[in-house]
Amino acid sequence: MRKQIKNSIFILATTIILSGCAEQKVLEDIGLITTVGYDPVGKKIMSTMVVMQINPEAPQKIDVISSDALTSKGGRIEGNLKASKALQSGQLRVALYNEKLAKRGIRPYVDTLARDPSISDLTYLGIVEGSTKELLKHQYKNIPDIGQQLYNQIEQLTEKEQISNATLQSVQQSYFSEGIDPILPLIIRDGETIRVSGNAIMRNDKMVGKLTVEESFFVKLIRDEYNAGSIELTFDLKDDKGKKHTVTAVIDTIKNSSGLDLIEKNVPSFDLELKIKGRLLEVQGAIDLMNPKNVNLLEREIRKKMKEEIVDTIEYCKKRNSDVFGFGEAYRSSVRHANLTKSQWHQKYKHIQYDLKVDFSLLRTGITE
Amino acid sequence: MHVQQKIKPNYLVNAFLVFFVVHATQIGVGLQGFQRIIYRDAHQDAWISVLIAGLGTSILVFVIIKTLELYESSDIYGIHYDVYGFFFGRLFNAIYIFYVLICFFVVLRNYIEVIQAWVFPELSLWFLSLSIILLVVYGITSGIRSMVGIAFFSVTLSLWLLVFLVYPLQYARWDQMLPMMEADILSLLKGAYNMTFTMLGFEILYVIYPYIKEKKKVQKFAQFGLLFSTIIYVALMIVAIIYFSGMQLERTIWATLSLFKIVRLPFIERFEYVAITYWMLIILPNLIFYMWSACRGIKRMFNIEETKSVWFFSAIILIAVQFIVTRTQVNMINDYFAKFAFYVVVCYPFVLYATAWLRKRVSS
Repeated sequence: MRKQIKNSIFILATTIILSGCAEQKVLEDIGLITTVGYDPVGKKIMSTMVVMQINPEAPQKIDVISSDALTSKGGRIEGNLKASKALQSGQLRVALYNEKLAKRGIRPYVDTLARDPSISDLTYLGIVEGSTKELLKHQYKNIPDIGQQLYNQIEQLTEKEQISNATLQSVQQSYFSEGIDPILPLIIRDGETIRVSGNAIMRNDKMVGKLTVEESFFVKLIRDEYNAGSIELTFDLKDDKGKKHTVTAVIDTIKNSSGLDLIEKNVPSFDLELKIKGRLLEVQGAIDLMNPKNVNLLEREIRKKMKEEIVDTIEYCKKRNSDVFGFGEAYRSSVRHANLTKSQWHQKYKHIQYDLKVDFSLLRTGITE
Repeated sequence: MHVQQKIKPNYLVNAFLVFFVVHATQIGVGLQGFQRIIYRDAHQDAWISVLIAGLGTSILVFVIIKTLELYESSDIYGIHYDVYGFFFGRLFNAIYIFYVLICFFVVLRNYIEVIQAWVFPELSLWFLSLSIILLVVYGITSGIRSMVGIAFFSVTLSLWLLVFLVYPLQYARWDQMLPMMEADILSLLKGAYNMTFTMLGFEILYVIYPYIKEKKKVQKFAQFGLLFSTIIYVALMIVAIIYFSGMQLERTIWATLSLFKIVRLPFIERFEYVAITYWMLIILPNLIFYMWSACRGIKRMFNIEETKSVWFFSAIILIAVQFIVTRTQVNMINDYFAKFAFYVVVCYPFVLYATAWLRKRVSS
């Protein structure tokens, strides 16, 4: 009996003590930062925060606060001085960096996000062409909540495989990897809309170049093992009667695989083989697809065109010395005791050679011919 | 003090529960972040180190149970008396009690560190330690069968957490496992040595052995428990290697918890908070069995009831925890403890087996 009383006192004591002692965060009393943008202002940085308002009577759902400080977290402290509610970053969805800031290096700003346990690893990172403050503060006609818009847009594009996955985790993954550089989406305000204009390629944490949407498609083909969305290609084609057409075709990739193998390690040389299976979505130009010969010709030209474009893209990235394709990973994983470091690889990367094979096959041309 | 222990039949537990006891005491705070310590030495071959360590524990448990089998129904405290005599037996018992208390301390402090770093940075040390210790006291006062029951539920109720490893696998870069076997034997062994802290827990057999009904089956179920733990360790090591890039893994203090950061469910966006708080259930058997081992030691030496000594030890731990405040201190304690534990758990069982065997030889 005595033991039972003693035990029940334990349970009682623990439950009483355990309930409600930690710091409370009541939804109505906090401002949820959903998006944050960083711009350089001299030596300082300007943080712009999109804060969600949880108040049904508020005329606007969001509040945009800007403040400048030496660090990004300092910006949050500064920003808190302008907010009616305590700012919390647990719901941060998108972090944007000004292009100029990205050229100086985003490492400290990414590091602070990774260090904070309240920030999700699935936060999207992006680089803005121009000022992030301007992008976030602009009163868009059709966008009530810029934070939500950006998040949905990037998420949608990532899930549909239009752009490479650039979450906090994957950017860090590449940054800390010896043989691959991060790639981040480029975002631009285009009048009353927000547009993803391609990708920014990085050398370590510094932005060194821009890729168009088409070029990004090829990077994605090589870099990721997943599908790579659709692409529009324009090329010249001689049909079976010897007539010359300028054809624009839109291809949707159904299945693709890439093989990247090191064949020579002194001057790193690679065998790059791409296998793409796609379907034709649209074709512009007077070409008769009833004739199987023409389809074969179309395939051949697409193959040629793709190869050209891929070589151009690789050469551009080589010139910028940014290995967004992961050649270095192929090197590291097949050379024993290489003790590769990132800077060593960037030295080697400038001189790599590769043998590119593109195997494209058109599975079908839709439900009409 | 009697070397042999007679346990009333209603306090005995089935041999298959040894599986859960061994597994539950092995899995604990170490699992939250062992990956980077192993990776530092063995790099992408770290999983081989973990396998080696798993094999090592299997041998150790074999020796431990062989030692216990020399005596019919005794624990480490009784064996110490028998082998070393009255004075030295007490000395060794004191050292062993000290060891299990340090184990308790380290598990408790590391878990509190995780809570403070991830979930509640403002929550004070004394509050967290007091509430956890009260739970432990509650467990111990309810007796051996409840404690084994806690171990059983701790294992079965936390298995579902493993399912969520599928999420990080979506982002896996399998070529990070290559080139295989790049690390030399020495770094692999060093990695395995660094697993000590994580693999600990099976030494509970030294104390719980007399309470097991079918003593012949202990070896089998203990080995199964070890195997299961090793599988989990290797799986988590491999997932960490392919999910994080090398330098990133070295910077990630609690890699297992960080793996849960990628899990996003429609109704819980930040799954790691669930995992961290759920971890309490995983470490509870650790704490209970270590504390109970210490209390058993007191009971065997001075015949003081466990329900009394547990309060005394709890008070000591509660006070001691307050002195370790910063991360650097925690890391320092962990390092010293890992070295100490290596001697007690990895080296000592062989010595004890040899001396016990000799003792039996001489007396017969």
